[in-house]
Amino acid sequence: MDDNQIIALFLAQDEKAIQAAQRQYGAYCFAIANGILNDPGAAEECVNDAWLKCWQSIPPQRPRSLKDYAGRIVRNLALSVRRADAAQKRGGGQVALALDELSEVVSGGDTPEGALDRQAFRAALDGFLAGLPERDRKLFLRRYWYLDGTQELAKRFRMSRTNVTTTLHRLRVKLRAHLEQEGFEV
Amino acid sequence: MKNYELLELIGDVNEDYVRAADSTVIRPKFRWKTLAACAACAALVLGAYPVYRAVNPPLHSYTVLEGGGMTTLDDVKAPAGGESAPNAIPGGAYVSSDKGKPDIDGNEYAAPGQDIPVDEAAADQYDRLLRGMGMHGEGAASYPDWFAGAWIDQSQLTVAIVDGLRTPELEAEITGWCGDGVVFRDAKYSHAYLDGLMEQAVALLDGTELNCGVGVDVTANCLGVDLYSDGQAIPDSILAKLAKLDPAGDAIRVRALTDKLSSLPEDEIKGFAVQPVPGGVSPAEDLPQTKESSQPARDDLPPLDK
Repeated sequence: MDDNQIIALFLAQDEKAIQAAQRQYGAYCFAIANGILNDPGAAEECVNDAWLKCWQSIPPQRPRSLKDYAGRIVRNLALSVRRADAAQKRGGGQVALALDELSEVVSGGDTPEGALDRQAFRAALDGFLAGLPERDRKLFLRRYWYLDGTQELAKRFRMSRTNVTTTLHRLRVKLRAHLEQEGFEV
Repeated sequence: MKNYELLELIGDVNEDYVRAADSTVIRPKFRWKTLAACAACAALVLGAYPVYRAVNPPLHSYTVLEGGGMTTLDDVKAPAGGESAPNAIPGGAYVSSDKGKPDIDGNEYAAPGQDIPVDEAAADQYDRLLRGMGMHGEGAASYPDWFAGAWIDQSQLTVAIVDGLRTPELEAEITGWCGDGVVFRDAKYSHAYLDGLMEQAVALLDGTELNCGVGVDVTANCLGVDLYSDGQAIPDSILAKLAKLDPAGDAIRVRALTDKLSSLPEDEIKGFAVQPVPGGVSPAEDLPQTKESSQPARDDLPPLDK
């Protein structure tokens, strides 16, 4: 069953949609969640919650790609769980490391409610990514979207860990400069 | 902005980028320029090596015997391997002078074997060995492939057999010819091979201005080449040719005697004459006033000190 057929099942509110989505993208979503949580049980829960979110949001949403849509949902869910865990002094892992790294980009100050234009910020991020060489763009997203560890990145991109670390640092510096140039007070 | 806010916002980026980042492993670009440069360097090295070798051929190692000059009076030479030693016989062994003939100091021998004490029994064994190999007498057939030499050492006949060809059957056969008490030793090169090498060495040294002594040294299992430099440096071309003849570097032993070639009156050379020993070996340490120093095989050997 392809992406459009599964989306059609969601739109028709057919319960087979969730089974089909799980069969097609369950492993992908689980990998994202487990990468963030490093806890298979919690990751499984996140994936199930993600299908529920999909069920609730489609319709009215009509995603272009169910894989991307579900992936983003499961990532956000996993991050929420991660943040809740961090509040309870549990966990750590790649999320904590990624957050530490991203502290270089942001000031850490509170953003007034409604002060951030999420659409504009997303456009700025897209602009930043568009300006990167393909390899750097993928490296950045594997680190801060998929939350891969540096060792995994080194293997995937056939780079040394040192090279991965220095490249990511360079990208963070570049991101901060780009966001400031776009007028964001990060 | 908080770091976790940024992390969440990164989750909203363009889906196409996210999907692309989930694609297969990124492979580094194939660096044609690097490869081409490496290939060019390799070709240069590989191509240059034969040229370098042609210009700078490897030289044979040699031992310098300082002060080891050569006299030119008849029969009083210091051959490398003893081939020209009086009474040397096939196989490299030495049999003493006949009774009544003058020794090197002009005194007559009272009995055979007086100059060098040779055990008659061992000499007889040696004779039987040669007969067994079908080698007795001048102009006999060539040595068998297994035969690397024979000599008498402390009244015992020692027979050297080429590595890999020494078998109990062969030892039994030799013992059958010679009787008990024969000592067997392993050797790398056959006598026939060293003979062939000697012919080649003589051919390449022939026509050079160097005075040479060439002979098979059976105890050392090599061809001895003595080069009398007459105070001059041994030409690299000679050493290069010898190195070509002996790529392994152990089949030819080169000695360079750097002293002036001299023609001495007979009474002055008494005591200089090298006493041949069984096997035809003329040990360098027997030469008066000689001092040895070794020269390893080198590609860029500097000229000898004059």
